[in-house]
This record gives sequence, structure tokens and C-alpha cells, in this order.
Amino acid sequence: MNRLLLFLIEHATPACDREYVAGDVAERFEEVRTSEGPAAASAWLRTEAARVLRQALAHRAAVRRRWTVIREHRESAMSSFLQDIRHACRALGRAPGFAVIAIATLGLGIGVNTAMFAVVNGVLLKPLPLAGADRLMMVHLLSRDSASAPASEDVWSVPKFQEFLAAQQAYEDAGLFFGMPASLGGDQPEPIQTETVTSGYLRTLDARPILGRAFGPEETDTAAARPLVMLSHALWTRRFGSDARVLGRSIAIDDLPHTIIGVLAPGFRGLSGQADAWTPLASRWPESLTARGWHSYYLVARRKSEVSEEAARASVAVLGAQIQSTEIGSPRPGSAPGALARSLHASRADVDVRRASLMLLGAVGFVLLIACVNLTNLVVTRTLARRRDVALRLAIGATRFRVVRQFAADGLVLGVGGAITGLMLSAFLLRASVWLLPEASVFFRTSIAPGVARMLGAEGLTRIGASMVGLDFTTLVFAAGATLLTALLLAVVPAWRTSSWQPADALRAGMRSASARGFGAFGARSVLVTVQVALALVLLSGAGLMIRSAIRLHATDIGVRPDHVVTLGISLSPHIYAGPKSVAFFDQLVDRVRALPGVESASVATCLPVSGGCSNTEMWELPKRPGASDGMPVGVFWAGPNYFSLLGIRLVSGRGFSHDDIAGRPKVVLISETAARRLSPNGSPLGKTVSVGQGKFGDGAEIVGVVSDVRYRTIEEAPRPAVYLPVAQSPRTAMRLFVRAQGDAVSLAPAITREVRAIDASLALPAFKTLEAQIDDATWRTRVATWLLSALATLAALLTAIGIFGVMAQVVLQRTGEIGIRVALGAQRRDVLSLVLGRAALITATGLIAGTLAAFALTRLMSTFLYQTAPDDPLTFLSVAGVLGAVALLACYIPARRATRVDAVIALKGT
Amino acid sequence: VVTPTLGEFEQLVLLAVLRLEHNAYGATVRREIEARTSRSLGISAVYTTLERLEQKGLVRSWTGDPTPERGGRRRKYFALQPLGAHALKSAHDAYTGMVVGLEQQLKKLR
Repeated sequence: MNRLLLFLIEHATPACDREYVAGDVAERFEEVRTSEGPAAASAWLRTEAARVLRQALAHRAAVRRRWTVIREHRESAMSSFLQDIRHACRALGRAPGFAVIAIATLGLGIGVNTAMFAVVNGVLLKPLPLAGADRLMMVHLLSRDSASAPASEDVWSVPKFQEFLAAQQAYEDAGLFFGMPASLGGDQPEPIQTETVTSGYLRTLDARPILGRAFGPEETDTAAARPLVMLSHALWTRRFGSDARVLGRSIAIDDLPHTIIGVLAPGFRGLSGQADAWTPLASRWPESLTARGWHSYYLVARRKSEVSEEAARASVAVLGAQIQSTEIGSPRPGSAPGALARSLHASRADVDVRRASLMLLGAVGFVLLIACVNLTNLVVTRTLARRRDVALRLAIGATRFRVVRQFAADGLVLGVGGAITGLMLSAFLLRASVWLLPEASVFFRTSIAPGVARMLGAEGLTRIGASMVGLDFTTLVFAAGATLLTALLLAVVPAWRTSSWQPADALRAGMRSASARGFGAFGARSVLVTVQVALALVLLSGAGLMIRSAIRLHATDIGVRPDHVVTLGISLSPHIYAGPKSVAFFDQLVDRVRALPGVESASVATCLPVSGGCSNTEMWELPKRPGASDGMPVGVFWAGPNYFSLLGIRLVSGRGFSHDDIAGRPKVVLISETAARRLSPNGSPLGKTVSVGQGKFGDGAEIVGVVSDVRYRTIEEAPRPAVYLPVAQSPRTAMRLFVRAQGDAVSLAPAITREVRAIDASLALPAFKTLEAQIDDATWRTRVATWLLSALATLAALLTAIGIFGVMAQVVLQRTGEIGIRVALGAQRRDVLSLVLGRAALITATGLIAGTLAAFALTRLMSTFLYQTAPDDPLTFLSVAGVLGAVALLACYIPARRATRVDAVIALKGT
Repeated sequence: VVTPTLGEFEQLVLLAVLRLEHNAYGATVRREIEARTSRSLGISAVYTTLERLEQKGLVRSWTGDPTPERGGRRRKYFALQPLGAHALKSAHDAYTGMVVGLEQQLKKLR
């Protein structure tokens, strides 16, 4: 048998049959050979091989044809999806009005949501840029101003911290810090932010030097500490050109030479968020090492990994109570001393920022919902209009899946268009947010929420600024998610609407413009619009309440006349300007500035109004009455003689400071009206002697006058008792120059700078600030929340108006025939009008009632942002409902007017 | 159960399988058809058809033991399934039904 031929036969046969075919051939070959001889057998084999080969080739060609068909089918499935997309684009191109409105609506919704999410992400969600930040906690001592006041978070003194450190077991490490501005000396003195720390601070935050070394415990925590400094990478690069030889060099901080021992890793700016230099607490304020009552420092601690946050908090509470109960002197009656630990993450944005961000995120979510309702309505209208198209497709054999896929393609095209528009919008909004979130010193003022205090010197945590927000990956994922959801919604609604359509039904209905089924669709859409009205009302109520708060806030008298006043902080070196020298400096400065042209008056004081407050202490009446337990908590302020008249603070009784109230003369103080009322509820406090806990006024001073109240902390907060000490009798090195100008206050800045430099050229001057700018800062939160909420609410009202307009226009269109019959039967213009408006009024009224109920529940959540306004303020609720109702009816006007102009003949012909 | 309709060649193959009873495999089926219809068949065509019939559930198959005359290769045997028998019966009924009364005329055809 010819092996080659057999081989050919075998391999021309599919593998599954190869054995059997070859076996058959072999069998037959033998049969032929035995019956007809070898030659005949070989001939037969050749014929057989030829036949098998021919058949195999034919078979292979057939198979290839079949595969081609399958491949073409697959390709057409892919290209038919692209075709769907193209078709969707073309269909949108044919309806440019619809396309523009839909994409703009969607873009608006997605844009504001993305921008707001970027803010929330930057402020609340993004992990802090610190190693192992999840185990870092802030530990606060608790204190209260009086027995009835709520406990508030307080700072630590070094001895209390040492007790805490010795007794605690929940933390690996802990450190104290306090952020403060200082002047960096050299050829060009400049103001920098510094942090005064114990050695544990940098260890706790895992901040390591990239050059040199860190502080040792004996260098920061003992009285033997030398003045050392560690630099931020930024300062090292900027001031020292990244020169490694800076180690061991000496630089002047507040005119005191400090030896540079290390440079910290890039990016680390401490918990104050802006620090450029770190100095040991012990060399900066050696007195505080042993002063138990010197509460100045924040405590940050790193929790042991095996201790839960809850356990750490519990142990701190116990420990804090122990530390506070060993307080020298009798414990205050009713006081609840203790300590509170909170994760750094929870401390990073104060409760109000957190709540405000989430509130606004909720508000933009509402806007997106309203936008989606509108879009759904638009899409449903469009679906109804395309009924005939769909019916035809179904009738000529398109599968339902095919039809739904077309709707999905429509939704996708709209969604992607909306997403692109939205991303562009959010990028623009975030850039514009610089206006709403000015960089740097925008911190939330002392909160009006009980127990939450502004963390002076630790603002890095509560800081929010435009640079912190941006379109990062998380935000883009959020935007993509929002887009996908809306696209899905836009595809699902028409798909659901059409799913029940029978081709024949739809064709029949499609021939006419109105049908019984059309009204069925209208019912669902009425519900959607009702929901829309309700959502818009909730937003409008929120905005209304904020506007009312803002108006009240604006009208609040903070106790000073802020116009034409500019101020400037000046910090003198305590080493150079000790005691009377600082008094002389400021006297000279005030005299020189007052002599400048355009200056009405000038003075110095320590504290800016509405700046979150400055120093606090206690004040007692002397001689101490036996049994008197408590001093009065007061804000303590140092002021020059002209300060009160300059700011328009009224003298209520007695006299103000005079130029005779100087060192060596009897000590005098002024107190505020609130303090006067507390001190002598029934009489005059004038002439009484008081002891003030700061400024070396503990041994007593006479009250010579009462001045009107000033809100030093916040605009919202009622003024607290205040006591003023004359600068001349209690010298301070850190003061604030106040200048009242005859004209534009800011234009005086260069001249004032020249005067300061003329006295001491080495001073680093921070920026000038007008008092009006300060008040703007203090109302920042309310202003931003009001602006944003109002903008969102306006948007919501607009979208709702469009929604109502759309639905009513559709209703009029669908009922043209009916209206025609009515007109033909003698209905008057008024009847037709009430037919349309009645429907609109029903939708609107239902929406308003539902919205009011929802708003009653939801505005409670924003009560902490409101000022002198109840969250269920009836006037606000009534007026926003009125406004929205008016807008809704206005939106019905055009469709209603169209309905009254229906010509009976034309309308009846149309049906 | 829907009775599958059969192509002409399929009918021939099924009839061969029916006739061969337990000895129906590629070579015998082919020889049977060739012998009775005086057609010349390719072996591949026979196998392709048998497999198609098997896929339709009209025949079943099993493999026999290797035999020396086939060079140690096995045979693949086929047998009629009930569905195949039914299909064959209805094809035959249809054919004979159509043929009734036409015998004389058919004989005259050339």
C-alpha cells in the first residue's frame, strides 16, 4: 500500500474521523488486492486519494465561507453599536434645541456636583499628608468659663503635659506645639511662621530631618536648653539656596540668635500648616516649663497600634480628670475637668466646615436630581415623539433589545456630552473658588457650636484654601460615577416606557399626535414635576434662611466703626525692647503716624475685633470676699489712650485712659458694659479695685471707666466681659497699630511702613489689613454659604420652572383636540385657562406642601449656620413658597396662553 | 416531536444503516449504497453525513476494537435511533404515498 497516498488521505480527513477513514481505506485496499490484484488495488487507492483530497478542499472552502459569515456578523454587531451612536448623534443634531438643553442641564448638574465634591474631598476626605495619620490624635484639656457654661477644649501647660506623659499608656509618643509668627532676621528681615515644640512633637508626626539632626529631649524639655532651630525644606531652599553648610550657622529669630541643627523633609509644614522653623519650647519660653497655669500648647499624640481609638479616648478622659483635680486651689464648683482625645482626622476641619461642606454637597445633589427630572421629562417627551419611529422598527423586525440599545446610545451620548461640559464647568468653578476661598488666613472663626473652639496656632488642620481642592483622581471617579448613573437613568426611562408597546398599538398611536396612552405618561411626569417643586422648595428654604441670617449678621453692631481703619501687627523683640522701651517705641510710632497727612488718628492695642478673641484671664474684685469662689472670666486687652475714640467705642461712664496713666502712677483699668453688669449688677463699678490675672495687674487696679461692648470673638457671639489695661502701665512687645484715615486707608500703607522702618529698620512687617476686610473674613462662612446656597436654589428654581413649562406645554399639545371640542361647544377663554392652570396649580401646590414638610425636617440640620433665625422661620417659609409658586405659574403662562388660542376648527381637524 | 425531514443522501445512508444492522460502519455503508445505486461515493461524504445524522439524534455511534486487517485501527459503528427510524418511515410513507397510482407512468420515464 502506498504509504504516501494513505498519509495524504489521513491528513485530508478531519482528525475526528481520521482513524476510521484510514481503517476503511486499508480494509478496502486489502479486499481489492485479494480479489483483483495489487495493481488494481493501487489504482483504486490513487482514485480514492484524489477523491478524498477534492472533497477536503471543497469542505475547507465551505468552512471558510461559514467563518467569514460569523465574523462579519460579529463585526456588524460592533459596527451597529457605533451606528447606534452615530444615529444618536445625528438624531440629536436634528434636534439641536433638545441637545443643547439636555447637555447643558446635565453639564450644570454634573459640574456643580464635581466641584463641590472636589471641595469635600480636599477638605474632609483626602488623607492628611502625614505618615500613619490614622493613629494621630489631638488631646485637649477641658475647661469651662463658668459653672453653667459648656465645657470647651483647652490647651496644655508643660507640667500638666509631663504628668500626662508619665501616667499615660495608650500612646507611643506625644508632643506639645504652638504656632506663632516670628521675624527672621538677616539682610532682609521677613515674617515667618514658627512652631515652638517639645522633642516629642516631631517624633510623633514622624517628621525626620533630611539634613542634620532632630531635637534631643534634653534640648527642648529642660531649662538647660539652648536656642536651636530646625528649618523647613522650603525656607532652606529659599533663604539658604539648599546649602548643606547651614548646619551650625546662627540665624536671628525675633532678634535672638538660634543655631541651625537640621532641615526637615520637603512638604512638612507642621500642624500649623505654614511653619518654616521649629524651635525648642524650653529655649523660647523657659518660664513655662514649671508654670502649671501657663496653658499655651496643643498636644498631639500617636496612639499605639494595639490600642483602639475608643480605648485611647477613654483613658485620656480618666487621666485628664486626675490631672485637673490636682489643680492648685479649690476645684471650681460645678466644673467638669477632664480631657478629650480626638483623631487628627476628625480635628482637621472643624465641625462647622464639615457640616457646611456636607450640607452644600447635599444641596448640589438636589440640583442634580432636579436636573435629572427635567431631562427625564425631556427624554420622555422625545420618546413619545419617536413612537412611530420605534413602532416601525419593531414592526419590520427590530428586536426589543435593539430598540433599547438605541435608547442606551442616546443616553450615553447625552451623558458623555454632559460629563465633558460638567468637567469644564467644574474646572472653571474651582478656579473661581479662589474668590470664595481666599488662600491663607481663611479659618473658621471660633465656632458658635458649644465646645468647639478655633485652634489658634493649629490652623493647618482647620485650614481650607483654594489650593487644597482640585480635580484629582478621586474626583474624576466621582464625576464618572455621576455621569454613568444619569446616562443609565436617561436610557432606562424610555426603555421602560417603550417596553410595553406593541408594534401595532404604537403604529396606530403614532399616527396621531394624541392618544389615551399619552395621558398615562403625563401622570408619571406630573409626579416627577411635583417632586421637582418639592426639592426646589427645600433648597430655596435653606437659601432663604441663610439670606436672613446674613442680613441679621450684617446688621449686627460689633461695637466698632470699621470704616477707614487700617491695622498692622508689630512684634518687637522682647530681648531688645524690654519693658519701657517698647512703650517708648509705640509712643514714638503713634506720634509719627499721626503726623502723616491723611491720618485722622492713630493708636495701638492688642486685639482685632471679630478675630476669634485674644487673651483671656480672670478678674476678681478686691478685697476678695470670703467665700467668693470664682473669678470672672474676662477677655483682657491692652490699649493706648486713643484706641476707644479711634474705633468709636463709646465711653459709658467714668473716664478713658489718659496720657497720665503711665508706669509709676496708680494702676487703672477700663471694663466693658457686660463686665460692669456682672461685677456690680445694681450699682456703679467705678472706683472699685480689681485684680486681673495677666499683665502684672494681679495686685489690683482701679476701675476708672466703663466702655461699650465690642465683639472680639465672632460677630455671632454675644460680647463677653472685657477688661482693658493701659499699655503704658503694662508694656507689651506685640501690638497692633490702628490708623483711622481721612480718605482711603489702604493708601497710607507705604507711608506707615516708612515710619516704622525709620524707627527700626530690622522689623519684619506683616501685611496691612483694613478692619472692613477683617469683618469680611469674620462673615466669610455665612457669606459663602449664603452665596452658594442662593445660587444653587436659584438654579433649582429655574430648572423647576423649565420642568413645569415642559410638562404644561406637552399637556396643552396633547389636549389640543379636547380643548378644540370644548371651545366648539362654547367654552370661554376663562374656562380653557382654568383647565390648564388648574392642573399646574395642583402640581405646584402638592409640590409646595411636600417641599415644606421636607424643608421643616431638613433645615434643622443647618441650625448651627443660622444667626438669630429659627430653622422653621415661618416668614422665610411663606415667602419662598410664594416665590416658587409665582415662578411655577409664570412658567405655565406661555402654554396656557397657547391653549386659549386654540382654534376649534384647526384643532378638530388635527385629531 | 417534530420529525426532521431528510435529504435524499441522508435517506440512502439511513437505509444502508438499517440494512446493515450491527455491521454499519463507513466502509460498509458506502459499499452498500454504491452497490445498490451504482453511484460512486467519497468516503468523507459518508462520514460527514453520518455525523450530521448523529448530531440530529437520528443515529448513534460507538467504536469497535482495533483489528489487524485495518492496520490496528478501530471501526466506528452506527445504528438507527428511534427518531431516525421515525424520520425514515415518514420519508418512505411520503414517497410511497406520492408514488401510488404513478407506477405505470414512472416505469415509462427514462
